[in-house]
Amino acid sequence: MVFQLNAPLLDGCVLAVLEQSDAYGYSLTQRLKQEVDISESTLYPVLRRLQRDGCLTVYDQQFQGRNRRYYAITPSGRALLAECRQDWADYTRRVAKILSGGDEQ
Amino acid sequence: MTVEQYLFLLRSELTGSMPQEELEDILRYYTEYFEEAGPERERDVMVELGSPQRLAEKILGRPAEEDVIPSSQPYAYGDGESAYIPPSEGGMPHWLFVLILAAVAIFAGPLLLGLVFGLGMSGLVCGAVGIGLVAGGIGKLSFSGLLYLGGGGLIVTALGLFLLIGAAAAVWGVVKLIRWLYASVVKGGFRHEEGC
Repeated sequence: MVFQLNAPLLDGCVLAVLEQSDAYGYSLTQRLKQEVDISESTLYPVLRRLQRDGCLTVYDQQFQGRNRRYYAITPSGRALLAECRQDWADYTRRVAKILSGGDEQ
Repeated sequence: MTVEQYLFLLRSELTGSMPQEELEDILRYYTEYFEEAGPERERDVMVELGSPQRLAEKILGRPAEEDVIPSSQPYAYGDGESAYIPPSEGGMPHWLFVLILAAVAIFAGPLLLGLVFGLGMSGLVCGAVGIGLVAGGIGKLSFSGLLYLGGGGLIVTALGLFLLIGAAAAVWGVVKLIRWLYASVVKGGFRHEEGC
């Protein structure tokens, strides 16, 4: 894959996964790794920052005698996700237009 | 290298660079991450995370405030970096470490014991003498007596406390050193620390 996610786009992807359901660090990483080329070490700083910005909350849940820290999207997170989707749609439309020779529509 | 050793090294890399709360949060995240990955993926995860030093740099390298990762920077870490190969698990067995430690203790033990005991006892004696002098000074009830004996007594007491702290620091240092050695060389060292 020649294209790489930048920070705002990765934020959007994380929020989009969490919009579907709450997830813990490992499951979230694996889910994203199915589709895009990110390293296992990438997500902690992203989650931490989104949490600090109020886009995520965390809660702990027991699973087979150990603890799982789940991340859940907040209303601010949903707002940021909506913004990200809008920007991405605009951006892909423009790029598609250029790539197709500028004669789209 | 075991997960416990990896996390121990990560902790030492990060210690002092951030508030304790944040440090615990990071370690907790990666502890959980390894647990979820399971024993069969431990090594893969270590390879992807990179050495504990490298991971610590990644965590520290980005200012914690807004741009944890600059937007201009692509996310594919690891590209262009030489791959991290975790040291093999085959550390020395526990019994060998204990044997070597015992051997070293036979030679270094008396010296160390003497040092700690000497410092501690001098500290106690100084403290007692100091307090005695202060009490004597007060007992004299003359101003100059109070000044001489009391002042001298306080100084000796302080010296005593200082020596006691020295003795405690020596013990602490040795314990720390043994723990570190244990974590670095022993196969499966520190497993007992994590519980579960």
